[in-house]
Amino acid sequence: MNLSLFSPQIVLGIGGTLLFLFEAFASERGRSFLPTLTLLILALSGVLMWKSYGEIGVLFSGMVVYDRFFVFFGTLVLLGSFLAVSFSRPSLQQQDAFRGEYYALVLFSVLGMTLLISAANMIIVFLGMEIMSLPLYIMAAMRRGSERSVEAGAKYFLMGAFASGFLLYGIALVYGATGTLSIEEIARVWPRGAGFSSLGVAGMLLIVIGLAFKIAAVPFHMWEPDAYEGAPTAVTAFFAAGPKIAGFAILLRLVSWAFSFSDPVILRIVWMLAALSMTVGNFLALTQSSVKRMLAYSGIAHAGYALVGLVVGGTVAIGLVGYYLLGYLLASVGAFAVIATLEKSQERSLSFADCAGKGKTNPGLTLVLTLFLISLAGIPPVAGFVAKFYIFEQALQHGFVWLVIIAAVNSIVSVYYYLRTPVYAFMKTGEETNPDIRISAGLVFTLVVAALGTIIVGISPEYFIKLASSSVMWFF
Amino acid sequence: MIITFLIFWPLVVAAIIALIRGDRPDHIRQAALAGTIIEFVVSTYLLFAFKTGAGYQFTVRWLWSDTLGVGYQVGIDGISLFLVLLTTLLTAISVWASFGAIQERVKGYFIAFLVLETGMIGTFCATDLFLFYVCWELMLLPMYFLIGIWGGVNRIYATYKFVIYTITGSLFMLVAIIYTANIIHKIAGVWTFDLTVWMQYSIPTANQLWLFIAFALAFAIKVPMFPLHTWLPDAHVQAPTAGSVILAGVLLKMGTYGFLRFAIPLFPSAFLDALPVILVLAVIGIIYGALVAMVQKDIKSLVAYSSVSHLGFVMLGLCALNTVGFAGSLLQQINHGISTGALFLLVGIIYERQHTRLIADYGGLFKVVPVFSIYFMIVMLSSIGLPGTNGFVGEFLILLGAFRSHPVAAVLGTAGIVLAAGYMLWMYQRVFFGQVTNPKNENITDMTLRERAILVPLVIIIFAIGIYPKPILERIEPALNRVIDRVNAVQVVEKTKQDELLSTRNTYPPPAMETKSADPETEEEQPR
Amino acid sequence: MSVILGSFLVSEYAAVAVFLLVGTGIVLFTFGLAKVIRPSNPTPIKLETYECGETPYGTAEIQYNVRFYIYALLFVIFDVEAIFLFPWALVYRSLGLFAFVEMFIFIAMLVFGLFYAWKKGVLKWV
Repeated sequence: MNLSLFSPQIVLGIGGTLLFLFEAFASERGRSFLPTLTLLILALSGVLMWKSYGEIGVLFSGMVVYDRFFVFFGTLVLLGSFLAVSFSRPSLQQQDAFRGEYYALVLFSVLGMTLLISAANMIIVFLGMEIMSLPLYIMAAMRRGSERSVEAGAKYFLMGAFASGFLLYGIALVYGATGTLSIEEIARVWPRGAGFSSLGVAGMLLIVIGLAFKIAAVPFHMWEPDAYEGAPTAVTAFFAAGPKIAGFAILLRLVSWAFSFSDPVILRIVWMLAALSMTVGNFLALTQSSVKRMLAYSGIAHAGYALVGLVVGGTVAIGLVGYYLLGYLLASVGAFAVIATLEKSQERSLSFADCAGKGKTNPGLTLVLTLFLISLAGIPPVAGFVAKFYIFEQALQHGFVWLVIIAAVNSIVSVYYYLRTPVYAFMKTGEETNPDIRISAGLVFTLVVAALGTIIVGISPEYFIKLASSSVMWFF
Repeated sequence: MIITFLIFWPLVVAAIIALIRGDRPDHIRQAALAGTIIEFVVSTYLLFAFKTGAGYQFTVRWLWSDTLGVGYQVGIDGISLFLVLLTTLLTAISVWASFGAIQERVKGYFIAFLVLETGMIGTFCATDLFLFYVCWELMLLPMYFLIGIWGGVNRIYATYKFVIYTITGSLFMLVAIIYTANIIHKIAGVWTFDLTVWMQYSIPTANQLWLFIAFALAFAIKVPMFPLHTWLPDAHVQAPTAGSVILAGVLLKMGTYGFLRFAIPLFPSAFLDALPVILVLAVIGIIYGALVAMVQKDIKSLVAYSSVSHLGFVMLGLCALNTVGFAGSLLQQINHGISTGALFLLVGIIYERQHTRLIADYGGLFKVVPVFSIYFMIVMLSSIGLPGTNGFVGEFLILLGAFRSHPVAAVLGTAGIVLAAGYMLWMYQRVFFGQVTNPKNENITDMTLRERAILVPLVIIIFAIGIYPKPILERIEPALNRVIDRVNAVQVVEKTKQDELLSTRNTYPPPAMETKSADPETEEEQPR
Repeated sequence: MSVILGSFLVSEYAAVAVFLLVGTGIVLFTFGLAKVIRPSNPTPIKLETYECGETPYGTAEIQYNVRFYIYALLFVIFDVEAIFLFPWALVYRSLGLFAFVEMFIFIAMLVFGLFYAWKKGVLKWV
């Protein structure tokens, strides 16, 4: 067993533990190094992750696997967390939510995500899911004085526990049907092209539902807007970057490796999940007055678009889901970073009206925000558009015409609310009271990386798509 | 290479402007003007280097993503040549015209304008459907900011309406583009968005209709055709002067250009099926636009509604389906860009001085500002279509073409000309003749040197095309004939009830030899 | 009827169902029997909550001090540790050094946790 293949996770685990101790014993001055240390650990983990790229290793007697899929999605998660952490300190301080534990929790949560992505056994799926989720519940309630924040934590926790129940029950049923917990074994037993025993199908369905909670697909999305809005905004950025991608990753791995989507019932259900997520997410986003909540609902809608790729299936389409998530991650983390900076009061989240006139007072910030929103809306030539274009192309190629039409109509709807923020920022005049908008170096880093990434991923998509599809190649 | 320069030069200029300090608006203005003038001068080279009748020229081909056949492929033929020239000219003029009107956020304004120019040139030159779509959407954003930031009082409503209408159309077009690529993939076995490749095959008749509808929806919104025109008056009235000029002069042409370039040649049989509907809507547009223009109190919305009427003519010319009608239609697109652009400029000039556009606030201006009145009269007469001006040639050709194929529609269309004379002259009479009724208007300064300089080229073109349109017509004809041939091929076969034969013959790629012998330009269309 | 019953009986769930029925039945039966044979003579004092002979005051719904929960959490940590240590001790000989290192890491984690809790003042009862 080559333990170095597991070193990304080990680094995160040790780092998290040590940061907890450091936080407890360090002085106030020492604590200000916490974000930097976190970034270092995340970067180290990323470097170790790429060190053995191309190898395939099965570790801990078939519990964990190291493959290109793990590297690709693990990198997405690390990148998202890196960007979310890098601007977090001033933002958290402003919202009175700066606690040293946050950084240790981030590392533990990322550890859970990487474990989840590298899972080769259903037990690790569950374990990774829990290690990922428990810190998230605490992070959501980080602003202890705020009712909304505590509500966000409680709601997230209850719904998360609910989802874990579904997942565990599904794992049990699949075990009952196949007699094994190893994903590879399940893949061997699971028939390609024909149906399976109803027990197995029911188990698969429950697993899909459990994961649908994590990626916030309608009708399992209820927790997301409250959790996103209540949590401190820097934490929300992390929510958008990490758990959603890890949830998608394991969904893709299970669906394309363990279960073939042969059973028409399951296919139809995921079809419905995709269509519902797009439609409900977009239409509810229309009615929001808070930018953060709007982005939360748009996150639901984007889960729907990405699910379209899952419905289509096949190396290219599944790879495109990865590409889509990359575009979504960059744009949404960037957007949350700008929102975190523009927010002024601690209790009320940023509303559209608050953005009025910001185009004049903070032209740079609002301009990059506009770039991110354009990418989310899928307007060329940035990443969001190219991703949407390719997903539509794949879906049409495989005859999912109605799904594409639903997606296209939804994209039209989404343009309206995405453009609301720029409209308020550039075209309306607001009061000029702008107490202190601090632009930290970390924020600049996040915004520059996210903006450049959004543009580069959009202009030269070929490399990233190849990377993504090669990561899922060996499932088929 | 020259087209690549034309597409990206405005972006370069925009980047340079972004580096100029915001508190030096004069430098920004001069840089923008110099950039757009260079762009125009370079684009005139196309006119001399253009080989009449030789398919796509100045082509550049660079594959962007080979797995999906998406590429940067540009080229110009007779259809797009003059539209590109119109774009570069009107952009330079609009940039110069906004020197006075735009005092706030000058930097952003000119950057938006230059990005818009990139989008427009790209849309006209793209021979790859993906690139076309990207440029098509790229035009949306700067326009959205131009109207939304520097527009009038009701600008936000207008912005939303403009964006939502456009996006609605274009997303369905996107779906149709991908679907067509899929069909081509099934027939030809390659993934490609290359228009020249697409043209070698014919789409199965069964799929054509809804694909055509999806394309036509996007283009009809942009034109705008009758029931989809409601965004236009709002956008025009709220947009800043230069924005209106570009909107009317170039952006509306995107719709009709799209019909000519994509919707009609790609889906000829569906076009024939939909022809009666388009014809009726075009005629309704002509008359409805004219009637509504007549009752407008605001000069700018009068001009906006006159656009609806004029673009109805352009669509009527397309429905004629013969060389004369098509040529008139394309010429009228250019004419409308010149005349209506000039009208918006003139309205802008007077608005800058008096801050009102209501007809009722004016009267007797001829005595106060004679030069302005004469310019206005020339442009207005061109818009009406007085013989000797460009408008006459275009409308005459359209009606001539339409008489041959749809006499009733042509007769009804003629009513549009009469009505146009009515609303324009009536407006002119109320604004310029009689006594000065409003004391505020007694001391208006006449046109400045800059304003005259802006309008002189337009006036020259108005007369040049009006008196000697041949250079334009002979250059656009071969390209138009190719489109007509494609439609006629379907028409003839349908008439002789040999539909089955056609579908079997066209489903498979025709042998290369046959293509070459049938169309000597094929070799030219291939990238060099 | 008999067919359904027959197929039901052979299925593996029959045993579970019988277990469920008999279990419920016994509980109901004993409680019912007690109700029938015992004398019933309620007085107010008998109905009071039993609290070690003291007279109860206030309601039963009070807020516990939050420290109890923290202590409970700490107890769980050591509880789990003990549960894990016993089987480890039983097979320690056969596993050798690997098991030693493994348990060392495990206990080190818990010690770190304890340090953290200590430093944060959880162990202080103020």
